[in-house]
Amino acid sequence: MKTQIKKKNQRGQVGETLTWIVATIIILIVLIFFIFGASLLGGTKKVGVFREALTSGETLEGNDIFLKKSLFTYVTLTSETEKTLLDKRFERLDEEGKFDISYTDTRKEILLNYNKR
Amino acid sequence: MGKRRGKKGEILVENIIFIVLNIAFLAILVIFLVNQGNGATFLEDSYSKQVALLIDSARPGMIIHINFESAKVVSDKNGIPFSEILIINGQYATIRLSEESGKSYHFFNNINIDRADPDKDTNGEYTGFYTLVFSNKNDE
Amino acid sequence: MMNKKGEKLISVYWFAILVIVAAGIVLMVNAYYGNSYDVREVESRVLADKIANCIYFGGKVNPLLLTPQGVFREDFRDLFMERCSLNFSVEGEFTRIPYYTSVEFLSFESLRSQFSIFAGNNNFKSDCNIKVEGNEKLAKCSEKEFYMKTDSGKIYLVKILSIVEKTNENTN
Repeated sequence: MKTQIKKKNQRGQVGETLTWIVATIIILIVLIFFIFGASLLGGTKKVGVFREALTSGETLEGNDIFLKKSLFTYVTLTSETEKTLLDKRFERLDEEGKFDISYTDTRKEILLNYNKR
Repeated sequence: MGKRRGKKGEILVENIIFIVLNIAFLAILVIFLVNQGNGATFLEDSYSKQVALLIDSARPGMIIHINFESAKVVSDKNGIPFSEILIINGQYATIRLSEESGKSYHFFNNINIDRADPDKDTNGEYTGFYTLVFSNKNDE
Repeated sequence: MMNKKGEKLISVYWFAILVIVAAGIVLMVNAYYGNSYDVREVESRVLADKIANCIYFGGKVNPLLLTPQGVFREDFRDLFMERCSLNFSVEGEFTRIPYYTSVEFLSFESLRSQFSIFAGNNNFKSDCNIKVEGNEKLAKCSEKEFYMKTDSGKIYLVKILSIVEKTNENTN
């Protein structure tokens, strides 16, 4: 009788330990997952476009002064050869994705504004 | 009968210690989280960089109003006067929202900052905004 | 008695779990709040914009850049920082300058360099060519170009390279 009771008690203790081990492993996996997630979220704190609350939305977003300067140079050219050469270079740069805004739209806008003068 | 009483007493004390230690752990954790969430260091980092970038983009003759309302909430809590949270010294913009911390960021624009003062309303209360006025360095 | 020993073991284990979870939460909070904002991309862009506006603004070349005959002036290169209102000086005797910029003027037809200006710490130039994962510890570069026309009708391709290092303030 005593031996039987002892065995029963031991089985119960082993069962509980096993439960705790599994629980610990699950807790560790969940924690590692969340820590990884938190560090990924922390990594997103790169500021690419300056549109924080402290400045207006039009500060740098949607602007490319380099393209605008080049287009202004283009509209002031008198030589057709130079214009053609510059056109080709613009198209190549546009294909390479070097402009931050739409090349075609900006070109239309600047040509329009220059012809109005 | 006596043995039973002893066992009851031991179980109660153990449970009390167990619960008290649990509460202590949770309390420490919550205090830590609340301090982090307070974000004085976080806001100092963010504001110092934004102010430095604004100064870098500024041109002589510009007047810039900067919204420091979120920073004011934190600085008021930490006992820092609103007029002292932004300090521009040389080529550095420094934001200080608590006694123990402060963050500086360098700006490359060689411009003169005539004014970097907090705005006040008609009652003399701080509005939560700062005004920066810029001029040419040679105009001193 | 056997039950009490089991309970004591579970109590110790319970605290061990509490400590693990608490450590996990602390790590999570530090992983998020510990990260600084990285503004160097914007900063290098702002620097490039400022130099571009200094050289060519409103369709006009800076009159201090060229002589009336259209020749580049050496004193513009020498006084470049002053002419373009730039100040790279930092506090601390052993603190290195965290910026570098170069401006090259190339002829329109042959794309040959006619004039160039350099300023800042050129040790960061090599960082621009490295494209690896986890390159936050390297300096951030911005390479921009535009075409400018002088009063005499000559066209130049102006290439501006601006580099901002500042890894301590922008990364962990």
